[in-house]
Amino acid sequence: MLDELWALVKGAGHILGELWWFVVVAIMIASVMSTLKLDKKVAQLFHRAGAWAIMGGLLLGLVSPL
Amino acid sequence: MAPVMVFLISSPLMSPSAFLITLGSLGMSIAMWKLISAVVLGLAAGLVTDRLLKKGYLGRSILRVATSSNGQDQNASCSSGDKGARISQKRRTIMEEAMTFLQVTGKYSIFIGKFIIIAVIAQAIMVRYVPQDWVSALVGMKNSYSVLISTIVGIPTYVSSISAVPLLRGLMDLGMDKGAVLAFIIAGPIMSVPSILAVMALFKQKALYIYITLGFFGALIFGYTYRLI
Repeated sequence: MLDELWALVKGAGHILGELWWFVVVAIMIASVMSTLKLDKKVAQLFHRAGAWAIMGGLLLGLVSPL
Repeated sequence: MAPVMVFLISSPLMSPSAFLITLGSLGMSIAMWKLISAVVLGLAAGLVTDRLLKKGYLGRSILRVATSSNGQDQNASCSSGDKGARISQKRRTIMEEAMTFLQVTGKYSIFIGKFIIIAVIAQAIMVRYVPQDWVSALVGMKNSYSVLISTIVGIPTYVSSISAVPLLRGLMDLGMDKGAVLAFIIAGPIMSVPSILAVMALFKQKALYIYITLGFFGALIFGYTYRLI
């Protein structure tokens, strides 16, 4: 039972080891955007861009390391 | 909100590093098809979301959380009185921004962290108790259902492109269908347990349905199309 639990903890640690930077980057991006109120500015920018905003979102998605 | 959905779909599917890993291990053809699928599915997600938002089906926003912290209240409370008289206005602003940043980081860490922990535990249980041989036998089959099976198996077994690509390289060497390979690497990143839980945490239920539907049927369509070509 303890061995199984330890194996699960090790497995979870291994997965987290591959994911942690993704989580940290995501939290940092969200925090910086929220603190500097960039999310509202980006939303306004996207709103003004109209149909081109979708292309902007696509380009960001393709080049982002997330 | 449509660009957000475009980003959500295309970002896990493709990045410069994911392209290079796929190119190096699975070849130019699959790497290019994965890139095409990221573009097509991303655009499809944007157009569907835009259409549904205009029809009012998704409400005003697809986000579950409110954006931007309420920094004004802190500014108001701190600027009253003369306790900060010796500190310059600029320095005080930086301090307030730093405090807001720490508060927001803490809020997001708790909010996202609880979902990530659940996702990581769920993934660890699956990796531990779903035998790799069983996965290999299922996705390695060469019949008309192999793309569908590969799409379904990709959902719980996908951990990351770093670990999935070598597994698929091995299965391809054993004769795995190329359409099934593409279906696996499309369905996996979009619909893996951590991805679904992250989307579930941040977005409303209807947005999650769009995300899952596009991921599932996108993987199937691209898998079968690639097999036919």
